[in-house]
Amino acid sequence: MKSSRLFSPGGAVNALMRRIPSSAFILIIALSVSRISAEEVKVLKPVTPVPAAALSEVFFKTVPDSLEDLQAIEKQVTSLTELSIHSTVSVRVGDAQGSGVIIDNKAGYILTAAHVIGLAQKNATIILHDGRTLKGRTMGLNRGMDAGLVKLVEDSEIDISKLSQVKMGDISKLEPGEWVLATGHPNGYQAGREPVVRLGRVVSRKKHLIQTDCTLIGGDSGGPLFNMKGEVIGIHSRIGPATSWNFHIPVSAFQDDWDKLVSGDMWGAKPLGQNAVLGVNGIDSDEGCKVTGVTRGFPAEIAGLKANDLIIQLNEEKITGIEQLAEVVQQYKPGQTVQLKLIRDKKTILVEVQLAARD
Amino acid sequence: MLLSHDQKNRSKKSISVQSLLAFLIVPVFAGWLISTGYAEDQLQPSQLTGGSQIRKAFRSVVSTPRSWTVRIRSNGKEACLGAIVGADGWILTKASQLEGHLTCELSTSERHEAEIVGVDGKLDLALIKIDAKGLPTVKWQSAIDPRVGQWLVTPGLSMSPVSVGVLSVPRRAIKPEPGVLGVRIDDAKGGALVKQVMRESGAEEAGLQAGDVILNVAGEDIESASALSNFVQKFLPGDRVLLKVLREKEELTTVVVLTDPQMLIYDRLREMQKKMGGDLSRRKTGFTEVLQHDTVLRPEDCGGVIVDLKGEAIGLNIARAGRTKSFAIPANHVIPMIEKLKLKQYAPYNPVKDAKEHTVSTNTSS
Repeated sequence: MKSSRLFSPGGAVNALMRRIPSSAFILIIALSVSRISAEEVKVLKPVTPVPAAALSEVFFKTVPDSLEDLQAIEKQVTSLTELSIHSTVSVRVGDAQGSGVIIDNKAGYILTAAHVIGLAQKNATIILHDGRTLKGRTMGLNRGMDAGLVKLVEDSEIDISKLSQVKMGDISKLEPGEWVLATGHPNGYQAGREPVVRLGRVVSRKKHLIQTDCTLIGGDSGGPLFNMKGEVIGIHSRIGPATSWNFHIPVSAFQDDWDKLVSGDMWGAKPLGQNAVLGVNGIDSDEGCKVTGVTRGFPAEIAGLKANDLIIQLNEEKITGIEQLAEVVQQYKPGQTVQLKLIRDKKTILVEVQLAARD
Repeated sequence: MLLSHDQKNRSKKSISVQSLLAFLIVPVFAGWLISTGYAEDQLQPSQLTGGSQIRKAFRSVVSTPRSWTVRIRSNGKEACLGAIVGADGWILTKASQLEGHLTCELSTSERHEAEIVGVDGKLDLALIKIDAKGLPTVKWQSAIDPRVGQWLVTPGLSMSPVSVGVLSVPRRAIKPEPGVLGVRIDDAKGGALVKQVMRESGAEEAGLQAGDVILNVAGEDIESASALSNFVQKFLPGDRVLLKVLREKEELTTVVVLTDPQMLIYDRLREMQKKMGGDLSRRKTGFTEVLQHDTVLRPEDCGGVIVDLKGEAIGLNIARAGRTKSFAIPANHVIPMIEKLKLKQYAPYNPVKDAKEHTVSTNTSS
C-alpha cells in the first residue's frame, strides 16, 4: 500500500512535500553556522584541473550590459543544458523522493542530499532523464551538511558506463555573481518531463552553503548546481521564503569526505526532530561549563567549539554546568539559533549555534 | 474533490493534510531568515537574474515588443498584461484574470476602455477590443521552438522588461486539476447543504453561507452532495459557474469562481505559498501545450507576449504556476485562436446567460 502510494502521483508529491520543511529548516542551521566558521579553511581535495575554457568576458562582469553579453550567456548556457539534463536523475528511497547527479559512470556514483536518502545501506530507485529505471544503494551521508551518496547497482539491460556523467568542479574561487545552472525534478519525477533547467547567479558563498537565485522546490533536493563549465559545484538542499533563497551544499562537502562517504559512514546531526541538541561533552566548573569534547558533525563542532572552551552563557541564561546547560538547551527547538558566550584563551567570544535534533 | 463528506475523499485528504502540516514549520522560521539580513559579500538585489540591472541589459530586446503590450485593469485593479494582435484595437490576454470593468493602458500611456469579444476556456485566452487604430501588432515566431536554456523575456510597458528567465522544459501538455467551490457539504432535500464556507474560497467571495442549499450549478440540477461534488469536478480553478441557492426559503443566484483545492486545505498553506515565492495564478493547469520557463512573474504580469533575444514573440504568458515555473502558450496555438475569437466562434462566456455552457471541460484534450 505504501509503495503504491509513493508511485502514484499524489503519494509522490506528498512524500516530497514532507521534504520541504526539513529543507527550509536545515537552511537556517547552515546559514548562521557558516557565518561564524567562515574563517576556518579546509584544504580541498585536489580536483582534475579543467583546461582554461575560453569563457566569454560577460562571465567576469558584475552584470551583463548589452545584447552581445546576453547572447554570450545564452550560447554558453544552451551548450551545457543537454549534458546537465542527461546526468540528472530522480532518486527515491522509501517515501522520499528527490534528485541526484551521476558523477562517475564507472563506479556508478550519484551525488544527492542526505535528507533524500536518510540512511546508509538502503535500496534506492534511480530514474534516468529519459525515464529508464535503475536500482541503487545508499552509501554514506553527512547529515549535518546534508551530503549523501548513492551507488548504482549493475543492471542486465542498462550499461551504466554509457550513462552521461559530469565532473565535480573546484569551488575554491566561487564568488557571488557567478552564473549557474540548476537541474532537478521539482515536485518530483513526472513521466514525459525531463529534468527542469533553471538559470541563476550565486547570491552568496559561505563555507557550508551556496545561495543562488535558481528557484528550487520540493523534489529538487539532491539535484545538481552547475557552473558555466558544466561542472557540478553544489547539490540542492533547502529553500527560504524569497525566490532568491535557494541553498545548495558546496560540492566540497563531498570532496572533503569522499572516502568516508564511499565507505558508507553516516555522521552529523539531523536538523529536524523533537529535542534540541548542541553536541558538547563537558564538566561543571566554577564559572560555567567547561567543554571536554564536541560530537563530530553536531552543531557545536560545526560552529567551531573546541575542548577547553568555557561556556558561560546561552542567550540570556547564565550557564553553571553541563547538566544545567542541557536543560537550558531543551528550552529551545531544533533549528533555532542560540548565542553562546564562551571564554577561550582568556578572551570572551560570542558564537551563534544552530541547534540540531537528538535522534 | 469538493472538500466534502465522501469517505474516500476524506482518507485522501488526511494524507495531504499531514504533509501540509509539515509544510507549516517553514513560516515559523521565515522571520529569522529575513532577520539575518544582507551580508556585505552578497549579490545586490538589482544584480539578481530578475534584478533591475540585469533587466536593463534587455532594453533593446523589448524596445519593440513593449509597444505590443498593454496593461489591463479590472475595476481599476491590475489584472494582467495583454498583447495587441490587431492594429484596430484587438488584444489577446489571459481570460480568467478578467472581470468587471476593463481598461487597457498602452506603452504610450494612452488609456482605453475595453470589452470582451470572445473567450476560449481551453487555453484560457480572451480577445478584448479597444477603440483605437494603427496600433503596432505582435510579430510572432512559431516556426522553431526556443531551446532549453534560451533567454525568454517578458515585456511590460516600461523600457526594461517586467522579468526575464530561460526555457526550462520543452513544450508539453499540462493536465487539468479540478476546481472546487470551497464549501463543506452534506445531503439536503433537493440539493446539497452548505455546512461550512472555506476562507478565501470562491464560495466565500460569492457570499455563500452555511445553511444555504445549492440547488443548481451551471444549469445542472443538484440532487445530493456527491452529485454536486462530481459535477463541479468537471471545471477548472478560475472557471465561473452560476449557482442557484435556497436561503431561508428564498431562491438566489450567484456566480462562483472556482478555487484550487490545494489552496483551501489549510489557511496557512496560502500564507506560506505567498512567502515561498509569491502568488500563483488562479488558473494554472489544463493547457493543451505550454513552454515552461523559470521567469519569476506576478500573476498580474501574465497575459502578454514572451519574446526571445530577437524580440520575436514565441508565445503568450498564461500562468504563474509555482515557485519554479511559469507557463507560456506557444505561438502556434495562439495565432489560430485570434481569428476564431474575432469571428466570435467562441462567444464570450456569461455564466448568468449561458448557464449550461462552461468554459472548460477537463476531459477534452485537443
